[in-house]
Amino acid sequence: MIFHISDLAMLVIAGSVAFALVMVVQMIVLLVRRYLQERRVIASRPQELAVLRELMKAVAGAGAGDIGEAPAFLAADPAVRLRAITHVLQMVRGADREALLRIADQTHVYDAALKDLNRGDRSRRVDALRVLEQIPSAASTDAMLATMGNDPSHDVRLEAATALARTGNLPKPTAVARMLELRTRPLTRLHEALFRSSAVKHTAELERMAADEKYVRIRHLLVEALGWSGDFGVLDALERHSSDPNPEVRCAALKSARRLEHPGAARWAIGLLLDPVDAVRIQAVQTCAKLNARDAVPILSSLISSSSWWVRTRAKEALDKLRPEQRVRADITGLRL
Amino acid sequence: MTEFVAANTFWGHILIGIAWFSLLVVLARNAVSVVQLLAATWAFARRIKPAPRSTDLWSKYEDLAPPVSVIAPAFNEELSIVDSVRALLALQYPSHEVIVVNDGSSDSTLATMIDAYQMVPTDRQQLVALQNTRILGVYASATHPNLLLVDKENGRKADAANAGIGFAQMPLVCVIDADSIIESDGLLRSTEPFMNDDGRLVAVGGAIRVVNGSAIRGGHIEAIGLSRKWLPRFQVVEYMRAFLTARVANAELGMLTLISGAFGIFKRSVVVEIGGYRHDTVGEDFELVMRIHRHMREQKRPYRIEFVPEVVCWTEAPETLPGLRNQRARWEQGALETLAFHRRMLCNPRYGRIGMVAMPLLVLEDLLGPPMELAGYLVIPICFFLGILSPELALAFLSLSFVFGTAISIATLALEEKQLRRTPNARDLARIALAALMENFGYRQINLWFRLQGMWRYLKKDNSWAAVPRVGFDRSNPTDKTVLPIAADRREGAPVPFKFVEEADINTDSEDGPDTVARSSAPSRAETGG
Repeated sequence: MIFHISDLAMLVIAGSVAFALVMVVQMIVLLVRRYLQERRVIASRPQELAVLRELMKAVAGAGAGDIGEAPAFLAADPAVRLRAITHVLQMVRGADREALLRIADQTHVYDAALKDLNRGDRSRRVDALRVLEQIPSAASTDAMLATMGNDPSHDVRLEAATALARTGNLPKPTAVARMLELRTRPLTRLHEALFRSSAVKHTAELERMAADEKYVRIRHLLVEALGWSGDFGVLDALERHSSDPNPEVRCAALKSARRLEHPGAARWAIGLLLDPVDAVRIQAVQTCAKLNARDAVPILSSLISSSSWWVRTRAKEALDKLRPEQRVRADITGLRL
Repeated sequence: MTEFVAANTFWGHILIGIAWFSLLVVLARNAVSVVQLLAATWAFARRIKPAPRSTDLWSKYEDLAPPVSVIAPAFNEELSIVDSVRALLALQYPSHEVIVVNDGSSDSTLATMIDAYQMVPTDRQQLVALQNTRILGVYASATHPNLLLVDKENGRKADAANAGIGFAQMPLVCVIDADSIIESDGLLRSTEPFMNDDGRLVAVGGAIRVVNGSAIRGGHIEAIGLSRKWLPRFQVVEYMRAFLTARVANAELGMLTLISGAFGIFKRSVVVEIGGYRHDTVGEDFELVMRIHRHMREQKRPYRIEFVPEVVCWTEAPETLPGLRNQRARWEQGALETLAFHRRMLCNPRYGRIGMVAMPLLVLEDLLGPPMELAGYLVIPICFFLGILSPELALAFLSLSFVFGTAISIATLALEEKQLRRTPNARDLARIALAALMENFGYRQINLWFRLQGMWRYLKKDNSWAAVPRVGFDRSNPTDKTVLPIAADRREGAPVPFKFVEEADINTDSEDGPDTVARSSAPSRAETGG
C-alpha cells in the first residue's frame, strides 16, 4: 500500500482537528465541573457549619466522644466529616482531642485513606498518608507504621516516616535506619530531621548507634541528633566523637555541643580550632563563640590570617563577640576585591 | 507570472522548497510540543504533590531549611522598592537574607531604602567580586538584621545580580527581578527539593504566572485576577504552556535549560565557580543555566536541575505591543547569543542529552522556528494560488499552525486545571480558555515577527536597549571595582584573590557558613564563560 503526500496531509489535518476537538470537549467538561463545584461549595457552607457545631458539642459534651445525636454530621458526605474533624483537631488538646479521635474511629472517616494506602498509585498512597497524619489515632498510626516498614516505594516510606515524626510516633532510630535503608541510600536533610525528632525520646539508643561501627555511614546524623536531646549526659560521647577520623562527624559533634550550650564542651572545641579541615575549624570557631570560650581568643586571633574566607570571617565574628571592646577591622580579613 | 514560477522552474523549486521546509519545521515543533505535553502529564501523574510535610518539619527544626540569600537587583524602583522589600522580608522561610542591589539608579531608590529601613553603612565584606562595576557602598538595616543594601554603579541586571551573589553568604541564592512578586511560601516550596537532595541538586526553577489583573497591596497579591486586556490574557496561556508543559517535561527528562530570571534558586558555590552571570548577553538567565550544564558535564560531576511546577512567583506581562516586542526580541536575541556561546555543545555526545537533544531542539525552536513558520504563512498560500502546491498540503500547514497549536494550548490549560487549579474561578477559566482558542489567530504570528526582530538585533549585535555603561576600567584590575579598602593579601603580587575553598573542600549547608565536608574532589574554575 503506497501513501501519497496528499494522504499524509489529510492525515495531519484530520489528526489536528481531532486533537483539537478532544481537547475542547475536555476543557468544556473541566469548566462545567469547576462551575458545579463552586456552586456546591457555596451550597454546602450551612451544612458544614452545622457539622462543625455538632462536632464541637460532641467533643465538649458530657458523653465526650459520642457523636450520637448529630443528624447533620451523620448525614454529611465522608469528605465533609473528615474536613470538619481535621479542622477541629487543630484547635483542641488533651481530653477533647482524645474524644475527637474516638469520634474519628467510630465514624470511620479515614477508611478511604486506609484503603488507598494499599493501592498501586504512589502519589495516592502519599495523599492517604497525609490524611492519616492529620488524625493520629491508634489505627491510623499502625497503618502508617506498616507503610513505613513495607511499602515498596522508598519515597512513600519516607513520607510515612515524616508523618510519624510529626505526630510523635516515629519508631526507634534503629528501626528508622533499617526501614529507610540508611546504610545504603543517599542521605538527605529529611533523614537528619527524623533523627532529631527522635533525640529526646531515644537519646540512649542514638548514643549507642553512634558508637556502633555498623552505623558508621550515618554517624554524623546520629551525633548531630544528640545535640537535640537536651541531655548534658551526652557530652562525653560528643567529646569522643570530636576525634572521629571523619570530619563530618567532628563537625556534628561541634554543632551538638553548640546546641547544648554547655561550657564544659569548650575545652575540646578549642582543640578543634586547629583541625586540618576548614569545615571543622569553622564549626569550632562558632562553637567557641557560642560557648563564650574566652580561652579561645589567642587561637582565634591567629585564624584571622587563615587562607579560608569562611574561617577568617567566622573568626572575626567570634572575636567581635568574645571581646567586643576590641573589634577586628573588616578589611583585615582580606575579603574584598 | 504563473509561468514564471511554474513548478519546474528555478523559482518554482525555491518556493516549493521553502514551503516544504516550513511545513516540516512546523510539524517538528508540534511533535516536540506533543512529546512535552505527554512527558509533563506523566510527570504530574507520578509526582508526589507538595504537602505540609516540609513546612511542618521546617517549622519544628527550622535550621534544616537551607538558608537562602534572596538577591533583588533594583534600578529606578523608588516607587515600589519599599513594598517589594517588605514582601521579601516577610516570606515564609526559616532563614533567609535579602540583598537589594541598587544598580546605579538615577532616582531616589537608594535614599528611599535608607530612609525606610534605617540603613547604615556596614563593613560587610564581599566574598567574591563577580561584577564589572564599582561597589559604592554597603548598608545594613538597623531594623531588619537580614537585610543588606548594596549600592553600585549601573551595570544591568546581570552585573547587579553578580554583585549581590558576591555578598551572599548563604548556601543558596535566589535571584529575582525587582518587580517579581514572590508567593509568600514560594521560597519554601522551591527549596523543598533541596530537603530531599543528596548533594547533586544545583538549581531549581519555579513556575511563574502573569500578575496583570490581580489586586496587589504592599508587595503581596491580595486577590488573583485576570486582566481585562487580551494581550496579558494571551500571555497567561503562553506562560502556562511554557512552565507547565515545556519546563516540567524538560526537567522530567533531565534537559531543563532555562530557569527564568524572574525567579531562580541556585547553589551559590556553583554559580561562583562558573563566574556568575555573563555580562555580554541579554539572555543572562538562559546562558547561566546552559553554562552550569556545560561546566558540570565537562567536569564529569553528577548534578541535577529541577523544576517546581507550583506557582512561586508572579510577574507583570507587557500590556502593549511595543512592550511585548521589546521583551520577545530580547528573549530571542538572548537565546541566539546563548546558542552561539555554546555551539560546541550542539550534537556533541560529551554533553549527553543536553548536547544531543536539548540543543538541537533549541535550534529548532529559536533558530529555525520563527523564520520558517512566518515564511510558511507567506509562501504556502502563494504556492497554492500559483497551483504548484496541493490544497491538502496548504491545509495541512494551516491546520498544524492554527488548529494543532490551539489544541496544545487548551491541553495545557486542562492540565493546569486538573493538577494545580490556580485559576481563581470558573469564569476566569472560561476567559483563559477563550484566549487559548484565539491565541493562534494573530497573537502567535505577531510574536513570530517580534522574534524575527530579535534575530535581526542579534545579527546587528544591537545591545542598545540594554546597554552596559563602561567606566573605562579593566575587569582584570580589581582596584577599579571598589572604592572600599583593598585587603593586603589582594594587592598586586598577592596570591589569587579567591580559591573557591568552599567549593573545593566543603559544602555550605548552614547560615553559619560551610559546615559539612564535601565528598567530591575539588573542581577547578575551568570555564567562566567570560
